[in-house]
Amino acid sequence: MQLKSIICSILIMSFSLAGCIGNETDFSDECENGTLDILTYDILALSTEMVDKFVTESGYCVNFIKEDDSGGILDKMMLTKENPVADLMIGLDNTYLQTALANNLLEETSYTSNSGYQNITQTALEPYSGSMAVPFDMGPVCLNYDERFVDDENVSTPTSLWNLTGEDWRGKLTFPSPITSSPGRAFLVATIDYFESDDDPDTDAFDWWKAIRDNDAIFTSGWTESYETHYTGGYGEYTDGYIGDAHLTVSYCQSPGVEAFYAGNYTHSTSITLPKTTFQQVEYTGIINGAQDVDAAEAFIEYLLSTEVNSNMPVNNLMYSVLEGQNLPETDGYKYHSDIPEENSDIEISRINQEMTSWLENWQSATD
Amino acid sequence: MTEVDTILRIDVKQKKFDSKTIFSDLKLSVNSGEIISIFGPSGCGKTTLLRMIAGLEQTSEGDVVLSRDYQNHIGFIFQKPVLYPHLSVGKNILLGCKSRLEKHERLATVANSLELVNLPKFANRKVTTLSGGEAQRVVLARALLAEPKLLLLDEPFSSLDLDSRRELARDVNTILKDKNIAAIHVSHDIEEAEIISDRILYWDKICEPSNASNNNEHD
Amino acid sequence: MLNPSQHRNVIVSAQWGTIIAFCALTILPLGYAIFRLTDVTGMTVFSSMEKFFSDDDTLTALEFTLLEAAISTLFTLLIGLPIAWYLGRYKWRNIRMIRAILSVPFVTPSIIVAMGFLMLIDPGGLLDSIGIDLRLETGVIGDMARVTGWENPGHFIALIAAHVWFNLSLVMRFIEPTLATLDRTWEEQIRFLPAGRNKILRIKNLWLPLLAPAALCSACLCFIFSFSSFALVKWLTPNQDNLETLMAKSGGSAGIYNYRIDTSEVVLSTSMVQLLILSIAIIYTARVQKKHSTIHSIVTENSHQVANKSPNKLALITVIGAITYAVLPLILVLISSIRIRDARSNDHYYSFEAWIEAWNGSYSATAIPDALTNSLIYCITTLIVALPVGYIISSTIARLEGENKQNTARFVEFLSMIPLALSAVMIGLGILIGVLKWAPDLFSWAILPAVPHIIITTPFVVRIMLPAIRSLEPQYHEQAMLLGLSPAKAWWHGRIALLRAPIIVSAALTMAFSLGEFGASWILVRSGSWDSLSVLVDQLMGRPKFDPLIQPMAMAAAATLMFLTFILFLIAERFRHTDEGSGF
Repeated sequence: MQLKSIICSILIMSFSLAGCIGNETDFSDECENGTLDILTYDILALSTEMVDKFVTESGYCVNFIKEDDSGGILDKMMLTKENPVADLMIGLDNTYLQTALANNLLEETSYTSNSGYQNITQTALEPYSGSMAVPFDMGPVCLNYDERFVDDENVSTPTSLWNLTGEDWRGKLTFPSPITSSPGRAFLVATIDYFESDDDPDTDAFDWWKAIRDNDAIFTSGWTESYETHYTGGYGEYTDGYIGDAHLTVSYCQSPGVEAFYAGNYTHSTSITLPKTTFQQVEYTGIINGAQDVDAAEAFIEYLLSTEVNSNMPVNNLMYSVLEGQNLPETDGYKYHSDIPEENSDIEISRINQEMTSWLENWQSATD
Repeated sequence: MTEVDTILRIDVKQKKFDSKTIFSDLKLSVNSGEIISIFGPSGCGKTTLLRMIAGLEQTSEGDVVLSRDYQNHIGFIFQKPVLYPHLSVGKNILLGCKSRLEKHERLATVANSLELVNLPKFANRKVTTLSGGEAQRVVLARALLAEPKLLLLDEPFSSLDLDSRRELARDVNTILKDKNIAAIHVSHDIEEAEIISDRILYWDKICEPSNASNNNEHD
Repeated sequence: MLNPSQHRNVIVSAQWGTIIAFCALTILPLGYAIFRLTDVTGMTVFSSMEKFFSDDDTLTALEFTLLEAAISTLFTLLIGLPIAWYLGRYKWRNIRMIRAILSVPFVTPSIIVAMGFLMLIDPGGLLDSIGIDLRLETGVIGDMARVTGWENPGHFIALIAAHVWFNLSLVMRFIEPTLATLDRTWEEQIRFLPAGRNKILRIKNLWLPLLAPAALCSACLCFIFSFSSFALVKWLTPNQDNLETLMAKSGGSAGIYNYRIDTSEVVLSTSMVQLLILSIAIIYTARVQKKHSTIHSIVTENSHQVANKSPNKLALITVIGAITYAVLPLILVLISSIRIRDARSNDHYYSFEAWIEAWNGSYSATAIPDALTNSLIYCITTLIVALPVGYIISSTIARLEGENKQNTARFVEFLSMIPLALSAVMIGLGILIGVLKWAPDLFSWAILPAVPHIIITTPFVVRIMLPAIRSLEPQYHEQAMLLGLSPAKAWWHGRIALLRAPIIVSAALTMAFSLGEFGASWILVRSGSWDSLSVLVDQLMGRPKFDPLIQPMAMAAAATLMFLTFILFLIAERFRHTDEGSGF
């Protein structure tokens, strides 16, 4: 009994002490300038080396407050409006940004006067080029489908969104809800534009969504669930929890390229790039209104938009860089398998803000 | 109250549990150095009386007056031996010791106490290994170490066989007389009462028993 | 120096003070969350419940919740009873180890259970290899779906199996101790009586009265835990919501003025309905547990018999089967942490790469040692508060019962169990918005995540300590006082020392539950430096897994949590006695 107790005590103590010998990510000696709190989602773009370098060079330590996605970031900012919990936000996209602006959740950044700002592409600046937020990555939201299914089942490649309401695709589509998912929201906006621009004045996007629902589409709360759990075209089949009952989902036009990049230049996923079925999502960083450490936030924005960091967006964050002269890497078919949209939807950000609430309500009614 | 002779005077008009009267009109007095037994059937309220004397219960109406010298010098031996299972025999006994002792003094004290109750070399035993009689002897040793002036014994030998009861009763009587400790012993075994005590009081003679008190809780 | 009456007054005041503080800690966040949600939505509690019952989504979630909870309970009893029977009736070598293994599921963090079962039901996994495809629902399961029109039967079966796994130990821990300590002469006696002439009569007149309260008690608790299940429903039945997952989906944006009012409505209405249903269940559970404790005390007091028969074949098969079932998902988690997919060939290889990666961590994913340290800090903080608070509440209830104030005792007991009726999401939300409103500086307080842990674990301490305190004989304390020991020493020797076993069991369970707490932490722990191990597992599992290391890293974190929980539990099992009747 005594021996057992001793062994147990040693085990517990070694677990406790493990924290002392683990990798220390807080350089408290170097935090002479304080700590920067960043509100973001699970940001892959910032590798440990990059953040460590920022910490060492700037003297600011960094603390991340993580939400699930873009919508979660906005939710947290709204909830903590009177008492912000962070200095900087990273990750609101152009379907959420206007709401943040309308609610005075952000304050001006001086980066827009920085020379580095001139290096940002027009595509990235098109949705918003004001001084309250700075774009840091972007990517066109697309429908992805599994080529194996199309080939094996002799299904025609869709040439119109209405094709997806046919028998060939019954029960084989999955969409993340635009209420809870930013790619889902982006795609909803694309469908608004698509059906406003088509030749049929009698139907709109919500008629299509209703038909999609009637065609037994699977609706999920997030991109991960749709892509990983249901979609057969991606890496999901190798993960636990995979169901694989859908052959089409909402993702990014570069997602097939990412698949290829990790799988050694092989993928059986591809994108639908029909005009107006895609939406150029731009993600932003901005200083939270009421931030305690504005200088630290400004320093990080500058760092995030530096060539050294931003050029790594495709590899680290699986999105395009916003800087001129940057592109996807060619390694392992990343660029080759990434699809370029024919014509993105171009609904203005102000209209998105004005009408999003009613769009979401209509979507919910159509898909209930 | 005469300070020299009468150490305890009880005059309980009524004792109730909830709304039931257990007994009433109980009058009793005990003199210094006296050992009395209260004899009565099971469930009549004898244990309740002892608990009142010990201050563990209150009267519903009436007084229990104990001489000032005797307050805080009461020992109690419960019906079931109360020995703390997390302590050895020796450490259980030392719970009765009022002063701080050095180690050698503790050992000597325990040895003497155990000698008194005829259990030499039991100091390091686990209490869970003791027989009923041994357990009650240890309880007695502990109670005596606390130097009580009044010892209350609540059917202390009821779980033992006949011979052990008699033997323990004799030993208890001898020890109490030696140390001039007054005692109140309750029992429903008349022979045990005769061995242990100077005077036997019959329950129905010292109080008005209640019909409602045929309940083991009170005895 | 206080006289006994003053001393008692101090004790009673301290007891009531503690109870009021605990109620404030529990009810204030809930109260504030309700107030905020009613303010944001413009609904009252009652109108929100009306809306709940008129909305298809919420009604569907309620139906699903009731169905899965009821069926989980039924199957848990059906499977658990034979196991408890064989364990209690036969002599087993290493019975303590067997009990510990069979009890591990109960303390396993739900996120780990979810991961383990995902691995079990995966395409190409163990069950699939014997023709039972619960995930893709091909084969037999697919046929069942087609014939019955039942949507996703495979997912539902997986969920029930996981709940049964999780709650099996409840049945065993309530029933087996009574069986193990029962005097065989009771059975022998009844055989000679008309009331026990045949098996059916013996079941009716001996076994049912003895075991029914225990079975009912475990059934009630099983129902409560299945009803409020979160991680398992989230991962195993992704196409369906129970009340808890429905609230979790909306929790992040609830309580915000003029924004996403629909989410506030969902959280308010759903939490009130859940509170109502679970409150009824809890009141009933408390009554049944008291009856079970009484019977159990009688059995243990009068028993001397220890099982001496060696197990027969059926007993062996049953218990070995149970042990296999208990450890299988956990072994799969462990294997999954070292089994890595080669993205290029899609073959698998075995390596500790993911462990190394997870151990080192990054800014995206807290390092395992850091998350482990956070988890330990929370659980030790929880222990320091929940254990004494739970003890004090239990003592108060026992004291009130002793003073014949039954109604007050029952009321206090109900108050102590309220957290079991609360959604973890509501607790987390209430604390979050309460803190942001009144003490925003506390948001960065490192110990804040321990607050919901304290709220959630204290009821378990009460459920364990209360039967033990009830069965304490007052003579031990009285004797100590009469021997002239100081009040502190009398309290120590006369009470605490005798409660050593339930204190240790409470401590171990408190720490285990704190380590595995997920729902409330998930809402609260959104600051990078606070991540606990269970939140880390979910975070990693929620990341896009283009990189094949991500999932094994999640499993490495899960395995770490598993080891720690198991060690704590083994320690507790060493001290667990079977004669207190708490069931834990």
